[in-house]
Amino acid sequence: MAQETGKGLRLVVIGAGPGGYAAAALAAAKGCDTTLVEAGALGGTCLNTGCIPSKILRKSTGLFREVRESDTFGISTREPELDMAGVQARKKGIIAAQQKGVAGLMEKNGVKLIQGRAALEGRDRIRVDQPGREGLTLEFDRLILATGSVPAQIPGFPFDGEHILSSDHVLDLETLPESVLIVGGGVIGCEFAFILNDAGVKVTVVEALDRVLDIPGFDGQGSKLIQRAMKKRKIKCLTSQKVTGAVLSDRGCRVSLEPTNGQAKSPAEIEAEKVIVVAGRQPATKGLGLETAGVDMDGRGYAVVNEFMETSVKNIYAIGDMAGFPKPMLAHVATAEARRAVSHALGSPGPMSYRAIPSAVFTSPEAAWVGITAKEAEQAGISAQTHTLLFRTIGKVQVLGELDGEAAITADTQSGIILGVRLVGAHATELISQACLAVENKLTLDQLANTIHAHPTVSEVMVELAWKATGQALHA
Amino acid sequence: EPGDSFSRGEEFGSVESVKAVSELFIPMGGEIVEVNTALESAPDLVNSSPFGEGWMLKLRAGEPDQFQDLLLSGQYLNMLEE
Repeated sequence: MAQETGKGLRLVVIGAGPGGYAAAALAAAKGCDTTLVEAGALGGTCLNTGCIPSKILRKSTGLFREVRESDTFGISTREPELDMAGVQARKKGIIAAQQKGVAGLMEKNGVKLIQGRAALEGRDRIRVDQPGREGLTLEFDRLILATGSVPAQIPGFPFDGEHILSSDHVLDLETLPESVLIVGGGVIGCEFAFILNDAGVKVTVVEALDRVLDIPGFDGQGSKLIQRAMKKRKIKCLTSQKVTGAVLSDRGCRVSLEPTNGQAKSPAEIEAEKVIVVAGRQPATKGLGLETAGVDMDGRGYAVVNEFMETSVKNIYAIGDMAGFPKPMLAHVATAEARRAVSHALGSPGPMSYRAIPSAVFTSPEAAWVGITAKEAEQAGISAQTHTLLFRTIGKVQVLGELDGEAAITADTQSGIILGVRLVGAHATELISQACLAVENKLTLDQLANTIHAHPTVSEVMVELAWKATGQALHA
Repeated sequence: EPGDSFSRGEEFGSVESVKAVSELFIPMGGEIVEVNTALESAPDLVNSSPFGEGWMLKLRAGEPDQFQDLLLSGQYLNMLEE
């Protein structure tokens, strides 16, 4: 194996999110003279306005619901209260601790941390503007761009933090509105729907496509299960409709809707106290000076990269959300891409593979998937078959009282190699990693079927599914 | 929900048991006039009194001709025995 050594190489990283700080730590560990520049808070979107805070809210409101419904489990309580100020305080504490961790990791690896806003000044240097100080110029041998993404606004719905909220605003809520209209039935929209519904907010979701979570790897049946779960919780879900405008008053928002499939539907208007627009994110590439350096972007501002994370300029790399579309814009993708970028920068290139990237959606039930669906396999000319199994056939699921959900596995008809897994059900986001192991390593249905799973666990749904798929079902 | 319209064969809901989930398909097209809310707290009425208190919805028929294609319970039981 070639020895990667970065000795003497000046490597600069812009952006200290899960992509950037990973790249900085890895490069420094290999001996590079590494500098990490961050304009905002350490940890990027993931730590500050994404993964972590959204799951902190999820935990609190989910627990609030569980406590309210605990009589099923033989527990009686007085009417519990949800204190959002308390949730926010916990959130701030966890984020601060994690930021300290990132700072500590940088220090341990000898990464120079600069607080400031960076912009490319050419193909080998950047300028950093620091608040209250002289700006500085940094020359580099290698540059890794990891500036991430930000919430995208839609026409007619400018974010004001009062009536029209972005995901950033939602994560900062200290008091809950009575009702919300969530524009966008993607991952963020669906998660917010359940989080707020659990907290007692009246929720309506509007989605322009004909199903929620219309994402590669997640089939129509999966969307149906989530929509059914929404219906059970009285979360109103309007698909094939888009928002066209909003009239704001101190009473709230009146939003007009239009069908996207030509079939007129009622209602044509929705009233809600607040509107949450989570219809997409956009790359944070404005003002970065990419044009100055000649780094190619696509029409939407995403940096264009190859499988080694190289941009159109030699020695300049781009990873994570800013180079995301059409790849999955996920924190763990950014971290994996960081590894690839550093390897290439140090002379040991290895291409990034997107074959086994898991997705995890923290709805109730959870949804998670990896690989391809049967339909996608067919489109790729692969003969594949899908088998499914209801979560409620598993003993532990009955014990938990979380019956909803279905597991689906897609495998190559000839070889039995597992091509994809789609889970909707309890702990799906944890269970999916086993499926990633299978897809990444091209394991077969037989290999999964021969792997003993502990009892009683929800994970048994995987082995039972493998037994069913190989014609040796026990319980199914 | 009352006010919703369906075409024949469209899924209008689902029933869940301990072991299974089944989709419900509407036997004829029309508009829902009333839904039996008693089922929300006593879903087992569907088992104990499927032709009585376990009724699911009242439908205003869209195309009365579609009645011809339906079977009465006796006819259905005969069909099963064949």
